[in-house]
Amino acid sequence: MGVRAAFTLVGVAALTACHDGLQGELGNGWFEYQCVNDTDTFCSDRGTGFRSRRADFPEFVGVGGRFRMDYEPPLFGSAGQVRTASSERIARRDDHFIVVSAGHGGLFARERSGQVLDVVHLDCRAVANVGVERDGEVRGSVELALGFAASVRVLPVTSNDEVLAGAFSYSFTVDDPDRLTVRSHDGPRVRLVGDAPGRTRLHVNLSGQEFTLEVDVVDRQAPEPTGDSGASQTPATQEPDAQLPITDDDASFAEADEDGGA
Amino acid sequence: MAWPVRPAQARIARVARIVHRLANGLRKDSAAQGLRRLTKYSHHLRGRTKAFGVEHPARRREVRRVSGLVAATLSAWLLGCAGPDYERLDVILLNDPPTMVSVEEGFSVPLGVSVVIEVHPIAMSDHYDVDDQVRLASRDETVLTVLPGNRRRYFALIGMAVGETCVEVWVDGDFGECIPAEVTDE
Repeated sequence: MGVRAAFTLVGVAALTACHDGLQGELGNGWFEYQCVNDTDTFCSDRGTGFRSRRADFPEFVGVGGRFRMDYEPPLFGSAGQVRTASSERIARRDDHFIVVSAGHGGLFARERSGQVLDVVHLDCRAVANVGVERDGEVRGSVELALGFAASVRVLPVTSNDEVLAGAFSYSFTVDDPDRLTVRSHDGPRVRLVGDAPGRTRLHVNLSGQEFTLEVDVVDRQAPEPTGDSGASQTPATQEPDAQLPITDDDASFAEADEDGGA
Repeated sequence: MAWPVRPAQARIARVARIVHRLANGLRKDSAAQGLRRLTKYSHHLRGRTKAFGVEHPARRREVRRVSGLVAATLSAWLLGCAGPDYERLDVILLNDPPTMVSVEEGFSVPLGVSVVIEVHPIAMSDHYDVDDQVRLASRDETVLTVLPGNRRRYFALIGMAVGETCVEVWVDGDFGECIPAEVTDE
């Protein structure tokens, strides 16, 4: 009898313990944040590839960011559809949600009969700026060696430099095309080439919101991959095959170079 | 035409059942529903009196007796046997919203936030049964939406748009009050 009870307990524990996501505020199920595509910094892991699902939950989601939300009921529980509390905060679009304004946005799982099963809230923050991550910090400027190409991943951040989740569309332009060239971009990853020394600005259009990133093109004989640029740099004439060694510190940007750029 | 005559006891029992159903129904009705129910049952009772064969003096007396019984029952019910008088609604907050909400003196919910509550109606003198149905309804669903929870007397209050409204409380079909509610900009 004791053995049977133990097996039953283990079985129930195994069935109920392994849930991804965040448990709802009523404890009736689990909410799972899912990324719409690899432009969402939360799922791309900033360098280890895209995963649409993650076991954890984003701390902040940016205004304009898109995401999906799934609800997993407990064992023998009722399945529910995820609805948004207010379309003024988080709106529903076809198969995903989009953050409309800053503030806490409630999402709830609703049964077919209309009963609310569980609730979760997302902290929605306005995108204050864009930056690049370097040594665990987000910086608002990039340093680029003259004649070299660098792959940079742009991150949407709050006014406190907290990285925001959510999928965005990205486009890039520069103030001075003679000084800096945008060779290519794939979502938030942009490949820049320093053409002339000096400072210029990279304009980032993030789902319709305009931000700028300062770029310094410096005249250096030898590139310094561990410099402040936050990017691995390769000679513009040698890419993409002849890449410079990347230190461990640059791992967060290694994947950007692997996609080849130009 | 001769109507079949049934034993008086059976007829009285039948009428008593009708009255009992009527009284039970009225307990759970609103005023308008109660009026409709009374009209319906009065037709029903008139049919019964016809079936008794009122042309016979003995039956007429019986009908009068039964009618008197019905009237007395209804009067007694109307005078003192109605449900408890609503006093207030006790509210328990069930979830832990990330921002400040208020459910004690009126409802205050920030925009976009969902609050799940459990409610218990409190009567002035008597008490409500656990079976008594409680219904909450927002006067303005575009400001604050009220949805049923997954258990009895659980409700979700959803802040839809900044504004003010009130939430109607109905207990067993009787209107209790309209609790002031506001949706604030966070």
